[in-house]
Amino acid sequence: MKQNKKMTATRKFLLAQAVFVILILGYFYISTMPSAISPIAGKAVSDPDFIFEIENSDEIVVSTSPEFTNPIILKEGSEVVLPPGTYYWKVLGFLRDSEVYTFTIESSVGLDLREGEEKTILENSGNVDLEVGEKKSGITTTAGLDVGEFKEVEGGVDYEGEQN
Amino acid sequence: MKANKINLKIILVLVFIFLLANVSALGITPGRTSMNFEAGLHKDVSFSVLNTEKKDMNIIFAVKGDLAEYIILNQASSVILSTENSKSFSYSVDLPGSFAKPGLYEGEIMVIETPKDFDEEGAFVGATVAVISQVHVYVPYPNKYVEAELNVLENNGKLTFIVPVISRGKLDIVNIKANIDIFNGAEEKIASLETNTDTLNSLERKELFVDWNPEVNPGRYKAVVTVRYDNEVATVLKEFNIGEMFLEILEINIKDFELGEIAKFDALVENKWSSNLKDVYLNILVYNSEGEIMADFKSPTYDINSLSKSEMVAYWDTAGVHEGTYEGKLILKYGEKATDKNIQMKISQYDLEVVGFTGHVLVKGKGGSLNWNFILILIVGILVVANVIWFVLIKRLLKKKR
Repeated sequence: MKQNKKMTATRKFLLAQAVFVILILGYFYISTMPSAISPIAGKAVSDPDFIFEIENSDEIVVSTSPEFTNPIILKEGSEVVLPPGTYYWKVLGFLRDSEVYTFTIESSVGLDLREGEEKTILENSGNVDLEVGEKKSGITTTAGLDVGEFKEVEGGVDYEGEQN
Repeated sequence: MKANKINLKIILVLVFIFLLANVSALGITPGRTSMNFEAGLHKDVSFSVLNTEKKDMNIIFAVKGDLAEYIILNQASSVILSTENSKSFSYSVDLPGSFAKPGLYEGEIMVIETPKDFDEEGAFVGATVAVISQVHVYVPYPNKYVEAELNVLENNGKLTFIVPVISRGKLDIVNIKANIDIFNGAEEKIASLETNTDTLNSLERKELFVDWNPEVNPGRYKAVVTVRYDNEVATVLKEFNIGEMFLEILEINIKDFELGEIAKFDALVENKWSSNLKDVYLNILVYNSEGEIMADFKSPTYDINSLSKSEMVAYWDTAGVHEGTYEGKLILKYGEKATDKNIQMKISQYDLEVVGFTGHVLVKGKGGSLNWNFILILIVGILVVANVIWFVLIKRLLKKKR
């Protein structure tokens, strides 16, 4: 009778141990899950500068394909210039990866004209190469202006920019 | 100290500061909307006008191109307030039953920023800036027809060549691949790459790709892409850079700064290009809160030997400048080329700090070596170990009692 009681106590004790270990392992599994904070899944990004924010990892993989056939692996602090398009990405973890997220970089045409007394600067502030038309005295001439490129131009002239 | 100031003022002959009369900055997204032709297709398309300067502005819309008669804008003009980063608009496309020929048909939604003195008759004097959102409608070719582009991504010294291919024909393509020949500045072929092979259905878009680990000096290179699909060929040419820039600003020091005095910018510049560069100078632009250039100053010219470093000095008279954070641009000019970096200048009474670079996607990881998760995991780990020890001890005690 006494032995039976002891056996039941041991069983209860072992069960409590098992529950404790399972809970701990469950906590470990959830807390170390690599996950993404931003960009939010499916987000359209038009700002050329944005940051991937991730948790429980310092490495991500970005690709234009959902199967990650042409992967670009980015570690903490690394930078890459991505052309407009839809991208798939996931956070790489030690034992497992996060789910796959997508974001879209929308093409953006931007033209900045800074007219001064001594010089005028025209800058491509968008994320696509531009063909810029310069209209002067009824004549239009065109020239390319790459992403981030700027050049000194004539003041008092009309400029129009479109994706090249 | 006084003599130094006089010397600096002499050097300041090189320096000029001027205020700009006008800033016109306008953006539009998307830059292009593409669609395949369908008889009688009706589509509503939205677009956003970007107020990059964050100022009040009047804009007018215009439609141009082959598709102008099929595009209806929902409004002819609008006002964007300085508080609006962007404003959304829309237009509708109503395509006809057919077009005479296959190929590309273009329309353009033009947004023009009108000057403040713009009157109702539409007459104004002065420069205008316009940006265009294109509408591309593709009428399929009856045969096999492929359009291709090239995107070059650089990451950790590795280049990925991505060749998006789009079938513009009515027939499927059973075999498509691309060869990429790389040429240096002297037009010598330095590498030849081959992408994966794929199939491409009618009107489908896919991407061919190949990686390349270049063992060449930083510089500008040309890629000639030959896309072979069944028995046809399409060619794309594109120039691209290897390495971030030929000249790199390693650091900028401003010692003994005092607001209202002349600031000395000591820039350490490295020539990463494989040849000597002559007449290199540093040009720094500082923008005020309206985005106007409030200061523009330059260093004298320097000659920098290949793969070496050189110090360049520029001076800025900060008289009249207030404390605060200013956006700016660092420009290194050499010959007809220039490289630039966007910067921020944090100016206080006795400190001028140059910080910040933009233009790239930056990965910032969370969950580093010491965070709450790490601490929790450590505690839980200790608890598990303590629990196991406690369990073993209890078992031994029970055994002893028995």
